Amino acid sequence: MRSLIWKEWNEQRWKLAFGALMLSAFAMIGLRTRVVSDETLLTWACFLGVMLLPILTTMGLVPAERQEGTIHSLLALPVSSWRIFIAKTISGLLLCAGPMACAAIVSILVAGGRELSDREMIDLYLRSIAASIVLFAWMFALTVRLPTEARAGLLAVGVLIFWLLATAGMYAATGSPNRPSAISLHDVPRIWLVSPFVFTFGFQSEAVAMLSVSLALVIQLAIAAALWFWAARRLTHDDGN
Amino acid sequence: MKQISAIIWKEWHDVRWFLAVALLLFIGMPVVGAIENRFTYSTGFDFNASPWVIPLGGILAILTAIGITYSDLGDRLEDFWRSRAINPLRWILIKYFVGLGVVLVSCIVPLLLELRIGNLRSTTFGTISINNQINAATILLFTPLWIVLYSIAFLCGCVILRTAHATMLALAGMLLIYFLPMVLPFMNWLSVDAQPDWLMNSDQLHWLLGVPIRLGYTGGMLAIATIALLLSLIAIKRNWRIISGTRMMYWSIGSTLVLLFSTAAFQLGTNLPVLQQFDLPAGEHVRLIRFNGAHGMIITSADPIEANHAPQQSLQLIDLKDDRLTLGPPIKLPPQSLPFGGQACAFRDHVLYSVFQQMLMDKTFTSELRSTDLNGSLTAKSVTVLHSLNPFIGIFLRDQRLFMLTGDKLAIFDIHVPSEPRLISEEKVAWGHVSNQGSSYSQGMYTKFQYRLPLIPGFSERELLAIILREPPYERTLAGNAVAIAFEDGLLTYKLDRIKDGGAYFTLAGSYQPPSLLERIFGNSQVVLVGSQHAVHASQKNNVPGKDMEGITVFGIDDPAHPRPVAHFAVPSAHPLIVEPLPDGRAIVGGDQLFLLGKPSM
Repeated sequence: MRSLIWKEWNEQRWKLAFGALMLSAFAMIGLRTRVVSDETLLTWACFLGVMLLPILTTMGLVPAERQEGTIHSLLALPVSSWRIFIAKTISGLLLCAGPMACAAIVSILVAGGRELSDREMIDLYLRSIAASIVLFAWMFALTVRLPTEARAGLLAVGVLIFWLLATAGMYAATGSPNRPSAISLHDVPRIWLVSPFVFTFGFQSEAVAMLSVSLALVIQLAIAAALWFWAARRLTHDDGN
Repeated sequence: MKQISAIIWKEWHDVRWFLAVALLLFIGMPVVGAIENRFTYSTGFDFNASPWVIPLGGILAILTAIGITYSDLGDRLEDFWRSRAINPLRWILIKYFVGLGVVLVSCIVPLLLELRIGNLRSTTFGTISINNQINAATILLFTPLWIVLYSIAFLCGCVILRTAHATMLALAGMLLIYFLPMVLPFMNWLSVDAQPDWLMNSDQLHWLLGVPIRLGYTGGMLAIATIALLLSLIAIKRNWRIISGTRMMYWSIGSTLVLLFSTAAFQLGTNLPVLQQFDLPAGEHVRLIRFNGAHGMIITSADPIEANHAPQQSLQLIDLKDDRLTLGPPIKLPPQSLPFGGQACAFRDHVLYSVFQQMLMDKTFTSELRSTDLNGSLTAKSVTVLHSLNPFIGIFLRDQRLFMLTGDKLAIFDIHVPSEPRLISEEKVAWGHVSNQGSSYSQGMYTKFQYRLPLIPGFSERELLAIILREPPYERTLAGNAVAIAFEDGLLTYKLDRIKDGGAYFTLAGSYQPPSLLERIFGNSQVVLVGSQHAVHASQKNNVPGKDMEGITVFGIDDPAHPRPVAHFAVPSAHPLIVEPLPDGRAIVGGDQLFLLGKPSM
């Protein structure tokens, strides 16, 4: 298992460095120059991370191995294909969360307590990491059998667009005291619980904020776990072929 | 010769599809638009190709260059060509010029058609009304850009075998060529989007075929294109190849975007040091700052919704000692102690003098002077002056006299007893903007203007000029020997030629147009200018998405012919920033907080 993780680390660490450097540079330059308010800038940085990191991560894990033809050699190794999948999942989680964690540290060092407290910044980044990981689960599961990075990238973009549109639809349908619901669906706020963006955008809505964060966490974890098992089965199915 | 013709014929066959598609797009679409306009609005045949050619010409240049190199520089075909009895450099040169010809014909012919029809749109020059000669300059302005983009893409195609990677790198190059000169002031001469200073002074124009041309820009662009072509030739001769991969693409595109973001952000954002910062009570913001270099006051106002109590204005004394600003306790002011503008007030010996103005009927105003004693119980005495014309109000102190200047009257008050102002004279005065002479070449700005000064005993003409330029309208200010005027997105500077016999005479000296696209998009609305000895502080609203942001740009105008931004400051604030420059270059700035800002580096 250690060797598998070491292999993934060796292959993917440049992406971790790339993501961490780009996001941290964006946050640092933006906070240093104060072009916009700290809250707006960090929201942009988190948005950038949530949009790009799951896609870049997904493309580079299994589809890249398929494109280079190394997946069969990997699956032919005398280790359980589940272990291979776990190593890739750990690598994916690190690629999604690592750059945003770095950006969070840089943000706190540059502007912690200036307009937002350290805690507010950490909260914002944690929510974004959660959204990024759930999106990664969706993209990883759906692209695990695609033969090229390009096709995986396109499908991942499609997944992202689907959830963005679905979330926009939920937002429009969710009412608030200042903005009556577009359609009077009483249960609309509950639908938010399945959206990967529930932590980033969902709880900003008053109607959604009344729901339990723990319940949202449980549901998102359940969705991610179900997707993960499905993806693992699809990958291990290759072993049989 | 036969060999060259054969290669030209072959290359032409490779790229003619680009020409066909481009002409279909650049001529066909405007024709469709013109026909539609003709039937919809009956406005004649409004052939308008520039909205298609100008944004898409660069993309066409890149695709053509990649297309023409990709067709022959793949492994097997390249080996085939290298085995022929053809000098590879000659072959590459023909390839380069045939492709370039296709790009230029595709882009220039539709624009010439538009010019011939007589209604070339001036996309580059914004709202400037210019004649056809200047319209033709659009073609001369963009042609070098297309040549550079084509040459860079050609170089990418020669050294990178994978088409997608070469295209992405060429697009990154396009971003740098287009945006970097816009955001870096020292490269502004290379910016296709630079506002044409050369249009302001027709004496300095260079002409080509009856059309003005930017020599520095054109020469620079052609030099870059030549370097790219030479590198392509060397790469082919020495068989240089870059093994491109995902990693290289990520880093090159990412670095390009970070480079552009950082250069743009540092142009627009903050580089003035915050020496001190004071938080104000929730919901309060600074409305006025008056400071004499050592002592002064700020007046804050509480928004009833944000502060959750009735509207309230407070005064706080400020002192500057040992380079530290100290803020006194807030003193509540009586309701309506300040006029709606909040700017017309003066402070002396713990008494605040302010003017409350009311419109009685069309163009007739009353101005009421009120004094508020801050020491004991609030005593107020008011004196009313009736005047007409415009609602301008200026108020200033000298010894035991207080002067209130309106649009057509000067009222002088005796304030020997500070809390009991006594009107001692009220007379008509004539002053203000008198005449403009000679408009500039294109933008409707005046090359000379004259100000008549109010003659007030005890004040020098220079002092009076500084006083009246400090009052509304705030789009102009006196700084040293120049007047700065906010103009569109930029700044105009007029040099003070002389002050004589109650008149101040100014001549247009220079202008600054923001080179940064971000600066133009996000900044410079609701500009208020405040001048000091050699600098002008421009307070502006930054129209960025998200929370309200207010900003300050400091312009150095020690050389009025070349005003330039020397520092920036931006901060979230729901209210405009009020600036009070200090004699040493620092500034007190108030918005939702109060700041003492350091000196800009001039």
